[in-house]
Amino acid sequence: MNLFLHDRIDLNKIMKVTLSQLAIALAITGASYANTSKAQSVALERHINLSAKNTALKSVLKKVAAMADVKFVYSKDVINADQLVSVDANDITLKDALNNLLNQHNIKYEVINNAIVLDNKPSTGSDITITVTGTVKSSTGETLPGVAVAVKGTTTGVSTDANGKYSIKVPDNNSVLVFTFIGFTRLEVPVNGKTNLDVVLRDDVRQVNEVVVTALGIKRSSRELGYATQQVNGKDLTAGRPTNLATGLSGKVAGLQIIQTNNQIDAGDQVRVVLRGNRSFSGNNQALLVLDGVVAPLTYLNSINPNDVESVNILKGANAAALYGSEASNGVMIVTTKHGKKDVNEVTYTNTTSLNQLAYFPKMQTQFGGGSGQDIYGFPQYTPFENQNFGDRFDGSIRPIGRPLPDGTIQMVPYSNQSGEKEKFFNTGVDEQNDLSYTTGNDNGSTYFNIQRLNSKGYVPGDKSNRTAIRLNGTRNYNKFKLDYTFDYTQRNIDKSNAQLYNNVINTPAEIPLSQYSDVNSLYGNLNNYFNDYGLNPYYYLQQVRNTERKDDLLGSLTLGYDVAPWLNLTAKGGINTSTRNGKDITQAINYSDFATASGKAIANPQSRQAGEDDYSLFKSRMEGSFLATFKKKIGDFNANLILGTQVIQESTRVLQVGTSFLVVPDFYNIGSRAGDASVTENNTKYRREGAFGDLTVGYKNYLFLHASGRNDWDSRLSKENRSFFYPSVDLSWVFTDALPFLKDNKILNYGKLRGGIAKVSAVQFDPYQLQATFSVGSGFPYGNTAGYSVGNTVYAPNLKPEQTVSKEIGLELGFLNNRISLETAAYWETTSDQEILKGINISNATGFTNAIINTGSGQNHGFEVSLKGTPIVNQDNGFNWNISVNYSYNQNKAISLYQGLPNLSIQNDNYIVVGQPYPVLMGSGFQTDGQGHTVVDATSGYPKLSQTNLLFGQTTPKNILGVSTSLSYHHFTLAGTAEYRGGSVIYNGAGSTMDFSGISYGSATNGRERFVYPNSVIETSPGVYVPNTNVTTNSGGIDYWAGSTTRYGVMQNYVTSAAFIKIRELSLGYEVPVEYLRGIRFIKRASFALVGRNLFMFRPKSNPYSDPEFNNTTDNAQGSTGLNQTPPTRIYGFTASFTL
Amino acid sequence: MKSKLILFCSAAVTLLGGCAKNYLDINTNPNSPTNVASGLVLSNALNRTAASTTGSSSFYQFASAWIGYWNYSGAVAAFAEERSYQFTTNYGPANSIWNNLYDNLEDYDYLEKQGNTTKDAFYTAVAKTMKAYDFHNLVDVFGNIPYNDALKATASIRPKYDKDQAVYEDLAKKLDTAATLFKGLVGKVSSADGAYDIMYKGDAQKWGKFANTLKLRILLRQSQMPGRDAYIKGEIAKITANGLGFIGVGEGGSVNPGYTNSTGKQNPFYSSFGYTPAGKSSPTDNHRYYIASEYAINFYQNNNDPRLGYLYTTINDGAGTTYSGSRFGPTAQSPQDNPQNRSAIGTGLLKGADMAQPLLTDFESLFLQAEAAQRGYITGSVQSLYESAVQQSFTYLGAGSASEYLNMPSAVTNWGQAADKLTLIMTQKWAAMNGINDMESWADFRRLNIPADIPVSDNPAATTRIIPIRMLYPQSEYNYNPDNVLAQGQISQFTSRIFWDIN
Repeated sequence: MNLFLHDRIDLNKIMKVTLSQLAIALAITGASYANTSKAQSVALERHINLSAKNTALKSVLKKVAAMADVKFVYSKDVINADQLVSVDANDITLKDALNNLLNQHNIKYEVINNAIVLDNKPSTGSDITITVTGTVKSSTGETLPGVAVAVKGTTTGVSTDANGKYSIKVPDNNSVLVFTFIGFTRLEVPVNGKTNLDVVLRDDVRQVNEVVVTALGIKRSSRELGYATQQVNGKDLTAGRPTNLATGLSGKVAGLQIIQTNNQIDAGDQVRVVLRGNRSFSGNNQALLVLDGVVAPLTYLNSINPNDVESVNILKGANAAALYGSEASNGVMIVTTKHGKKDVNEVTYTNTTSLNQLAYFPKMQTQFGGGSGQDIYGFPQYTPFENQNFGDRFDGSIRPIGRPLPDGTIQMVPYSNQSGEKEKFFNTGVDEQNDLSYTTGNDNGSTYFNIQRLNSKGYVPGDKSNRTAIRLNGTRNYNKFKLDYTFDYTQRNIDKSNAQLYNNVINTPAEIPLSQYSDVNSLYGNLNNYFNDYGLNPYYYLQQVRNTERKDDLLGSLTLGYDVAPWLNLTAKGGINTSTRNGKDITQAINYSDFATASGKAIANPQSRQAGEDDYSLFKSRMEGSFLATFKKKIGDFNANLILGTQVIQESTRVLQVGTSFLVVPDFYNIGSRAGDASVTENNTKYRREGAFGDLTVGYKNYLFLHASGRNDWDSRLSKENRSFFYPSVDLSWVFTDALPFLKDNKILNYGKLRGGIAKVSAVQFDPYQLQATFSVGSGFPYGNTAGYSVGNTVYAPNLKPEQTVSKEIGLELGFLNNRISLETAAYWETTSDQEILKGINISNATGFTNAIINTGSGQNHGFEVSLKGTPIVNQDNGFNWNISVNYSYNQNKAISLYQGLPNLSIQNDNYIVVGQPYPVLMGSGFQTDGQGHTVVDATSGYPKLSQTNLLFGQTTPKNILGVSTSLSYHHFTLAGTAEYRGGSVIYNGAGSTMDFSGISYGSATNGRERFVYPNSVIETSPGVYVPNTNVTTNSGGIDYWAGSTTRYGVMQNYVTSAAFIKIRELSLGYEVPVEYLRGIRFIKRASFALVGRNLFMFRPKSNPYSDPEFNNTTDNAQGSTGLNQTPPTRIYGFTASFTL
Repeated sequence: MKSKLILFCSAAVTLLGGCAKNYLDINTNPNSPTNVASGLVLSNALNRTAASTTGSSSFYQFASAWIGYWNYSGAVAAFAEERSYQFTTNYGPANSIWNNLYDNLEDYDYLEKQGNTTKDAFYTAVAKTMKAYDFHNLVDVFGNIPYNDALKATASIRPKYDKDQAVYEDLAKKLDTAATLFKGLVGKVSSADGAYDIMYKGDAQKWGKFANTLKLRILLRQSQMPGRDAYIKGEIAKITANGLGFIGVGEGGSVNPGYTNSTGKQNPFYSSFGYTPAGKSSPTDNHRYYIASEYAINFYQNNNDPRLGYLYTTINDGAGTTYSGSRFGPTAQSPQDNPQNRSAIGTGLLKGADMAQPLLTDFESLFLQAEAAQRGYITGSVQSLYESAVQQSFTYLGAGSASEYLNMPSAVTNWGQAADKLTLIMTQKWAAMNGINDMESWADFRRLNIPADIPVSDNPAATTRIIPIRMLYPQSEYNYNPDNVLAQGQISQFTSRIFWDIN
């Protein structure tokens, strides 16, 4: 019986064996199989699942053999077992699969005694007259191996080789060649007498049977899915040559909002990712990132090399929660990195160098110089050492700045606006990223290895960082076992200024030649002589407060799969993810000269400030293990797939911090060398979760699919009574174009699917230890040996429950013109109740407490998404292609109830949850109005009157998001771009306040610093009676108004603007070097180059002249508040080159 | 194959280690204790009272300028609200006072309940006394406040407000109970409990005097209310009945947990208005932001008051030879009002980072007694109480003997020469309370309009030229307790008076 195992017998030895001879041989030995002969036909009816792309025929056959329990017999002389083939058999019979697989390669088969014997099909008989050769490429210029090339109307067919080349014999000049390949649109080209036909295959916009990676890495046909997913393939991701995944995804998925809240050197940690808006009031609303099956922090989005990514699949709703647990309630981003390809040994080197340049600076006034005083008539006076800009009008005269130096000299400058001086402070940042990856594979498995190094120089002078990442992915096959491992280690080192530089730079009067002070040891740049009485030289400030940090992140997973039987697979999986941060903040000591202090220089008093430092160490780990059993069964027209699983997760953190503000040895930053007590903190947390789940999909005739899941969790963070909770989901998918006979084979509408689902997710978002009140160490304690404790300010409830979200959604997916146009829409309604108020609901301090950690209130969230993709232009002849995709989403939510009738809840940064309003909304100080939009001013001072209570300004999350991404390719060139619009929200611009206070804002000079009638104002003549104010001018139009906290800079209303923007997020021009040019250079297989620009343009409403409205103080739910901790926005220009060896 | 299956299944079972019963019982807080000794709560509570009242910048930020002691440096653009009397419900010091005192009250409330549970009357009595101290300060700033409904956590999440007068009357009762308890505890407080008491070291006698003196302060606050005499006299009779008396010379209540010149460990007043641990070359921001007021400098100078050099430095933080104060009001920064050219807070107030923080000084008690005696509420020699009060103020500041000062031929200092004895007492009380408890001076001014010539801000934004008579309720109340705070009506800092303020 060894005879039939094709890999153990050298059929070459049986030279010229014909099929009939074999048949005889089999018939003889067949006697021993007599009792199993009835299984022969059954084998062909057996259902299999098989997906392979560009795989050698022999290994595909081997897989089929294992799966269907059959054997293949063929001669290597007759059948080219090494030819590359592709097959995508999803639960079809072996017979159909073999027909699909073999017909296109001109192979026929016959079942003899449980063996499937292969042979070449007889030739068509007609005389072969022409041989056509050529190369097949993708629209991005890559050569495509394994493409099936067939002569239309015949059974003649070949496939392209590893270099995408083919050679086929056609009967005559009128023959038509048909090119088919998975992932690409079928193409027919008439030969028309040509002997060389190079063709370009167009990406299939959306494959009807596209395989998407769903929860736990389970591959599903998209038609089966009753919930919303959107897959971004590596190719779409890298069209714009982004340097990180976060930028590569922006604008490409409907309903996905990626917010980069800062652009400092370590901004990668300051990213917020939200799918379908906010559900939870104060809990996490961010999507779950699953990297190669391991839950990873979202900051990974900024370190994953997009070139490593095979695909990103976004599960937008909560229906995947059964398999991932409650963390998936906000949607999941499943990132699958590349694995080695079988029989492909390649080394790819990529270099990406990008320049980071200051892009936008707020508009500033250019008319008035330094000063804050007024003469007795109220005229502004020039002050040479002021940092406020309330001096007199520029007149070009030569004036002193700063205070006289000890030798009596003083710096003299023209009293006029020095344009560009503030902008010059910022450098051009440089990021240089080198990536080297190696991929290999054979029958026994595959390996993918990547090493990456990124060196960054920040655009803030002196900031620098580097990142070294190693990734090793692999698979190993041992008979029915399959081992899959991923390992990723990233080390980052950051050295950055902690200074609030932007504030400092803005607080520099317009006549100051700031860039002259870049040398902090220069005469006028040094500490004692710097002109500013109230601020440090920003160039010195850079070095005065600094942070260094090392981050080590480790992510690994090991999966062991075992095919017990064709209908049962068992998989065990373990994953670990750790991150370690070790850092030091330092503050240099400052000592002013006696002269500086004695001169009255304000900042020189106190004369000395002590050095300080803070050391911190943070360790976080997450371990998870899961076990899955997958059953597959087909009964008649029904096809069932059941997954049963269990999961255990443990997360722990440990934070240690020591610090002092009194170091005693100059420039020596060690906690040991201090005076007085050190501050010391320690914090540890640990929690565990267990889950057991089931997930069932039943398909009927491959067009109707019912999916249901259920999961029970046990969570250590809840009390014993509440610890166990269950949540189910159900959804339905109906491919009506297959189900309804009259729609079948419709030329226009080729694909249509209607789906709907409902899911409930219960999520525990509370930190551990939130069930019991604690005492906190009293402020200042211990004093020597005297200890003191305070009753904590938080009320705890022992019976906390999980937060519950019920989400309903419906969706429609349509494919037109053979999927040249595809449309996906979804609408959803979510209700989240028993909201977990993580930091506690705010309660009146008169209760004795400030917060109560409770489950309370509910909120509703709804919206819809439209995703339209198309290929408007495909022109085979001139190689011109145009792809476009448009993603639009609308999201709106509303807080329905809070706690015991409480109307609102603060979630920090002036963001509130207010009953009856979208959440969160921005609230803060503002002016009184007459109820008709006029501001009430004081009849005497002419100043607007403050509203005694806070005003509500509007929601801080965008209602509408529109992303458009497009690519144009012409021969080897590809031009790609992505634009995004977000709108419908407001933001508080802290920069505006500072700029008004310092008198540098453009607005502060618009009335020439003269008294003015407050626009659109009224005067209250008696309670409730208002008359328009036409002649009462403000007491001041200068410093008293603009730097007045009750009139201008301290009133939030003055700086709340629309947060809308349109951004051109990326624009790139790529060039793929044609293979023929590389022929001379033997060792290079492929080469490509690209020019990339990111954030090139940003359009905002005129009312917001301040900054990028995407920037924010935090990455939590309280969006809509910026300050000066965010440096100004930048543009990025880059170049990338990639070589494959 | 079977063995492989078993291997897999056992792996699955191992994963579900939850089968082990205690696997999920790991929710015990390793970071903060869930139970501590009452004494440890007492130590912190007393320290927090000091840090939230007389040691807090909130007790000086507006009152010091409004009452004529200090002004704001011409080198700093802040303090617009204080300079203009214009503020909102977001005004910082008012929010701090509200938040910190209620927070502190919760600790005392816990101690009172613990004391009741453990039958340890010392904790109950101290808690009652200190609750009265905090609530009384809250009433003086805000009028009607949550009282009966307060401190009940989520059992009363939106506490109702009580009338200020009713709160005052109940505080008087509380202090009676406390004093009676202290009386029974004299000599009986255990040394262990005494060690936690960072004010009186468990001396129940002194605690009793503290409670009585506090009650006297509360009663005198109501002196101008018509028809209130009978009530006041009746309440004083109860004080007399417990026989513990009032705080006498050297018996002032001061808190000191062991302040030391180290970051976060300094005396709170010193750490706010004095110097960082690095010393004299490194004054705090507030030390440079607050400068002497012209009005106060003139008062002490005109009366040859030796306390001048202790309450204030010479100009340029002691580097100069002369004293100088600034006029109250200007907003635009004026170089002449820089600390270089003006006097700063003096060494009599900033004795050192390790100084105890007085909550109720002996001289305040003596001034209270002098006023009570002058009004006929208590018996005793008004003159000797008055003179003793002035002397103790001198003593506190380190200014030596006051006898020359008291015997000057001046109606402002000399008992015999003063025509209006009450004005003399109250004027000297104003002079003594400078930098000790400016909120008391603000309260006395609201009650009696003494000193009558305190300058009103001439700030251009000060459109209502009246020294405010109260604070607005904090914004957090409008956010989280709106129906109850709105029930207090529209609040104006110029017209919504505290019940005892009838001027």
